[in-house]
Amino acid sequence: MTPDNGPTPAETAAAERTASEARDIGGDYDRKYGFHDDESAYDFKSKKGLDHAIVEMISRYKKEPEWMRERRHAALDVFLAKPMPRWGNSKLLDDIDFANIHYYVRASERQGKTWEEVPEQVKKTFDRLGIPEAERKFLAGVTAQYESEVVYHSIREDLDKLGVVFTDMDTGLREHEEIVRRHWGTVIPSEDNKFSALNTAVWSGGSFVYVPKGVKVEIPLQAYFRINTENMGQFERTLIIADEGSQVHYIEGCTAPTYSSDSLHSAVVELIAMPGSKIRYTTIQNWSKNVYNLVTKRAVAHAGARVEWIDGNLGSKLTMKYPAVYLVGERAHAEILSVAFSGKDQHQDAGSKVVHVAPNTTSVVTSKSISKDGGRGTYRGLVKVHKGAKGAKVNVKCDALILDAASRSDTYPTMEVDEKKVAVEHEATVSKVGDEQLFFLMSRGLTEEEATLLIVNGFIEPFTKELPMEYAVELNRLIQLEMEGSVG
Amino acid sequence: MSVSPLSPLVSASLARASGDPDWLAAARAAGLERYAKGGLPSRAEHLWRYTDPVRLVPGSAPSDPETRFGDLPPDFADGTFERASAYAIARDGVLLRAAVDPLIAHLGFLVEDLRAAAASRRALVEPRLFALRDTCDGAGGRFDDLAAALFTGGTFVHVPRGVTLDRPVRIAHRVGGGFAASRSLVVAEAQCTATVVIDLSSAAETDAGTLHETIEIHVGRGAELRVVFVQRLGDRATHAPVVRSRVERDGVLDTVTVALGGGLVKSLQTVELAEPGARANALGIVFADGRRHLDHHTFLDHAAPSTSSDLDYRAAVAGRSRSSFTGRLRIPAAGARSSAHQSNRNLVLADTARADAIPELEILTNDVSCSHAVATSPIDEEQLHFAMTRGLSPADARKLIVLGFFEPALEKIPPGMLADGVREVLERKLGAAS
Amino acid sequence: MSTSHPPLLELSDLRVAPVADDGSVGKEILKGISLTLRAGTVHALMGRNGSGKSTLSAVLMGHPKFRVTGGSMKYLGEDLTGIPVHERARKGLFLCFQYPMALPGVGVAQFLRQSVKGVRGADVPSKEFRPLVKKHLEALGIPQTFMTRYVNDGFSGGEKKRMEMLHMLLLEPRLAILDEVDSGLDVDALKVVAESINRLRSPERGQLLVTHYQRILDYVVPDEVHVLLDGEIVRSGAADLAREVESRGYEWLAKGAA
Repeated sequence: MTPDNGPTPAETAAAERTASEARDIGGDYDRKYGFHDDESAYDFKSKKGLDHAIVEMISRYKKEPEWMRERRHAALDVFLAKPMPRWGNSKLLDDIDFANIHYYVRASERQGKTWEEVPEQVKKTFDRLGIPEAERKFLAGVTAQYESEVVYHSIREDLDKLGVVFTDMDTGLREHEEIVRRHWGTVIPSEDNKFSALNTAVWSGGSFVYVPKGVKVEIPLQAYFRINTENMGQFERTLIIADEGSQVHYIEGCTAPTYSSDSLHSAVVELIAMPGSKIRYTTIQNWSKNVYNLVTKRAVAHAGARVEWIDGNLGSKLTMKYPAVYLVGERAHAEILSVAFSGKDQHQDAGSKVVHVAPNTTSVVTSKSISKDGGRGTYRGLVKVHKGAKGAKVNVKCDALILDAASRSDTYPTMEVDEKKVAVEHEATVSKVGDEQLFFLMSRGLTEEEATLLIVNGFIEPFTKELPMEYAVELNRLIQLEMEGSVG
Repeated sequence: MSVSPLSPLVSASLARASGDPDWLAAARAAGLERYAKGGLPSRAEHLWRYTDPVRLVPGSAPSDPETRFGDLPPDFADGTFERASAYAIARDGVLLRAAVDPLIAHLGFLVEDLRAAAASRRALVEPRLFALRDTCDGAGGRFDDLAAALFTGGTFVHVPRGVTLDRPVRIAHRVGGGFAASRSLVVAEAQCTATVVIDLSSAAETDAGTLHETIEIHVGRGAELRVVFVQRLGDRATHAPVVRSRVERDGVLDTVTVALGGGLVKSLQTVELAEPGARANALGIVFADGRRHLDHHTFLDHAAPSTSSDLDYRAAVAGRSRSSFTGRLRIPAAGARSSAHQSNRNLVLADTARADAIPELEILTNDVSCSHAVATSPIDEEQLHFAMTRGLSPADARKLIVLGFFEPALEKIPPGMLADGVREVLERKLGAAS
Repeated sequence: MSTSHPPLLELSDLRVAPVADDGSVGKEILKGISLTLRAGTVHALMGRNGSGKSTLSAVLMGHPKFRVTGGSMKYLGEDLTGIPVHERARKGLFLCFQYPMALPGVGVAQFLRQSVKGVRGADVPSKEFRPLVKKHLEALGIPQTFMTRYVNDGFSGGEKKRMEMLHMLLLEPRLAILDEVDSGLDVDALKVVAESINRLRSPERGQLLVTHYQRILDYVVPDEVHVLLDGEIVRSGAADLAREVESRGYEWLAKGAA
């Protein structure tokens, strides 16, 4: 659109096409993602509630090594002993009924190697999620987690040849036990917090990625996670190791059908970026609006390494997630870029944590939050510069857009600086969609709704432009859905 | 975490209450009860993460206040009212002496002992004292209750409607080595204009006393009140001030808070912008050196539409000191069309010093203009270099730049009132720290 | 040539490299500069952007981001290397910055007074300082209110340059180095700057004008002109060299050019 002439007929037509496509993909969450399968087809589902017997059962069932079984039990004790956090949204956290959750569900006995082998019902689910289509087009490998076990998995042969391991965590543990044992739980020990302890006790599935020295994986590795069973907890565990000088981009997307009662998703993701390596981890979560999404994500970046968290939060009832980077090697760099969209009855309590331990480390945090229909978006961040991290540079920028008078935005950053030679900067703004901007766009022929959407898209553009094309398109569509009817 | 035994506090509270009017005695009892019930804040509460509340608990009941002030501050000494419209001196929380300029005494403004005023001017005092309750979700204010129960005295400043005081009200407060609790009340009635300057120091540099101090400030409709706090306590003193303010329609409250001393300081300032058009400007200067631990918390509550606030806190940390600043800003749904901006800048002058910044925004409506910014860094090398190319020694260049860093707040201190004293203290400290 | 009076400035095979934040030394920017500036003369150092002009200005004044990696730079016979920045100022060097720093919170009057005190080694009495400043303010066309502002804080480009001139005139430096003093100035401001420099000229003093363009040299006529290209002086000559550069550009002076 040019400022002088307004949209051309072609642009208007394109906008209409996008709008109609958006309607086609659902119009409501239930139709696109809200289906749920007949649970009677499940092979196995643990009883509700959590005790040592359940943990024992999960470990036995998976035929795990002894050390893992012991870690699970020890972690359960930590989980039971740790109080619920008193910060964040305590009220919602206190509503979680840990006794009323299935901690382990296994949908089918074996893991399919090709699409054809995947059970028909599961396939239908994935068809509706669009995974195989995506795979045909571009996927390096698909690991789709359906409930707790990975049922479909493929990896391109050229990655195999390079020695790249991309598998589910259970297989990773079986086939690469030594490397898993050396790194697993080193970035996020189970004592870290109540939910990392819970995950350690009952984890199942997730991804294991190992990229050998110097290998640059050109195409993103992708995984979908999905919760299907009502009152089901999903506790995937992901470990990504990028060896010296290697590069990898990992993408996950998350959806869950809508049920009337709440589900719990509590993942642990550990990234280890060895010297000179680069890891980018992209997440778009679109859990249904009754999921508690309480996730611990943390990376360790060694000398000269670069870790990027690209984190989009659209779904869930309550998300508490603060992707972290510990910069332990000189000149390591962290980039955390996030978008949170909080709609009706949603609280996105998201943010970042950057810990500068080594000299000349740098970090850039950019957070964009949009709240609407009474939703609440919270940025919670920690910047910690340890003594000795001379020359550290930190730049944090948080922008919040509040779309109506009923919605809320909070910003809670903490900056602790223990070193003199540093530059720490933080800025936050809160604004609404400007009347002048709206007026300008509407004077060029856009409806108020179109104009608002355009402004919102512009607001999150720094995030969208970092996504692979198909994810950016999907994100824009999801936001368009969220925005529908938002202008009276 | 244990609260110190209550019984001596109860008896102290009762003893203090004797001579108070019934309503005040009842308020003391209520304060004590709340303190006993509420217990100490937990360190898990984020406002207490940097300061252990146990360190603020008095080890004993308040000591009997000294009745001797000692040497008067230089700007008091000339005995004229050239610079101030009133002078007051207080010791260990008790007002010893106060005098207003006889030439303007007819304006009817009051500077007197709060407890005396509670008895003699009930209509002015009772509706305002204890009126500013915690709007800050109970954060940080529990020692308030203790101070309510135990306060030995304080100052009552009352500026009547429409009165303009062309010179500040100057109060000097000195504390010794014991435990003191004081409570003051400043009331600026509608359409008045006034400045109050309060400076606090230790009687002797080595005094290791503890002062719990609560100040309530009421700014009436259209009133303009400036309050300057200068804290120059000795290195071993502990200071736990709670300043609560409320600003009515179109009123303006300007505060300048200067913290240069004290071994341990845990300060809470809250401002409620209670009616449309109310405005607050808050400037802060914190200089931490030695082993000082200075923990400042501000809370600005935009409780009414079209209110505005601007906060600028600047800290320099040297030696092995630590400064923490938590600035909370809240615009509830009722605060539409408000504007609020906060800035916190920290200069780190030594490798062993530490600065924490926690600026917080809680915005519950959309029609607002709101921002905060934090920057923590050492002195800009390029600025230092520039000053040195013009012949300043590295130490002088450093002093110049740090003083410049604080200058915007220092300028707001009325001329002839402490600003030069503060500059001198800063220069001395900078000389020692470099 | 008299030996009893060493030249104001004597650069001999001066080599300079930048120092990064982490202390590492980068590639040489100045690759062996030799130049002799005697008292009573004005030299112009010309060159394109990136030729190393500003590096020379900065290193003469002791900027910490540069290191002398070879050769020497002598001021009145004394090697400047290792002399603290403020001592150089006290010895009579002055650098007029291309981009003078803002010092928020630091008043102009306070800064100037402290600077003059530092350079002279003794405080200047107000009754002497005030009329002195007033005289220069008038000559520079600066309003008195200037003195109550913060140093360069919110100043326009022209105001910053006037501030630098004021400071220079107050300090009366033996050797003034003026880095791109003409950049971004309109003709009127340029004339004010040039007048200030000319006012300073005397048999005891010298000036080094570092500039991209010949423009300022119409008003301050140099005794010698040096052309700096890629860290080396490729040509020295009289004032007409500047005009030649103006009409022909720098390319013909490049190594290997015909």
